[in-house]
Amino acid sequence: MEIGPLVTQRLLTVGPDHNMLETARLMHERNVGAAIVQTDEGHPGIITERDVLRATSEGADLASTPVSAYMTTTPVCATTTWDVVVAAKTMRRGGFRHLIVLDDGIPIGMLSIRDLVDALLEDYERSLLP
Amino acid sequence: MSTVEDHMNPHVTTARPDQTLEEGAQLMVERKVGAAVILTQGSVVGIVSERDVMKAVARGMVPWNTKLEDLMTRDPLCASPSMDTHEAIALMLDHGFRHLPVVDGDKLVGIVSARHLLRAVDTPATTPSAEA
Repeated sequence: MEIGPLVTQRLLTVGPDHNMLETARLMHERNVGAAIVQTDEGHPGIITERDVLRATSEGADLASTPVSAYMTTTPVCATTTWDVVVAAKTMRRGGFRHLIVLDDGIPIGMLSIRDLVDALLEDYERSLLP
Repeated sequence: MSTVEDHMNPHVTTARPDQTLEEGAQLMVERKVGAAVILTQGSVVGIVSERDVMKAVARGMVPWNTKLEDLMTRDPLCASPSMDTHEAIALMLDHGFRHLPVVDGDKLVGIVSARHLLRAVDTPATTPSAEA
């Protein structure tokens, strides 16, 4: 099974100079756990709810802390033809929960471990039906 | 069929309802977990996930001035150690939860996450015919 159908096209994009509080608000409003960080360096970065948790744990003033302080600058990216098991193992081994999905180097979507877990567990439930 | 006990993590990160949001976040980061179970006198009274933390700060809650009881999900659904794995999976899918505290009677004995269950099922999930 390819990840294509599971990839959410609801992309949230922020800049490295956005502050963490505004980014958390946007992620909350869009009900997503990660945002793409568009940089001038070509390769997209990523900022996630885990990064918001880290910033909170460190007592950072989120309103004056830029995304660049907590973002991952070179995240692992996927394409829509990746197999779901490969995506799951990549996330598990890398210890991350979101994959930016690229088409020809351009971000077209995001795959979260939530989407993947739901799909795999639903598939598993179906496999148990008589 | 496996049970929840086969997949749960017996090392549960716990906190008190009166601890602050900042302290809860520190616990989750230090222990590298996505949720903390909130206990009062040994009984489960709530759960806080990293999504809850993000929602709280997005709503303007001040991390060092907010108690975990103000953002926790109260009286969360729990699993028992003997519950079938697929029953736990169904609970998570039906309710959209990613973590279930595991209780034996009133005693917290573990936590099971969707990621734990995914590890348990990812091979048969994608090759159901191999089980036939």
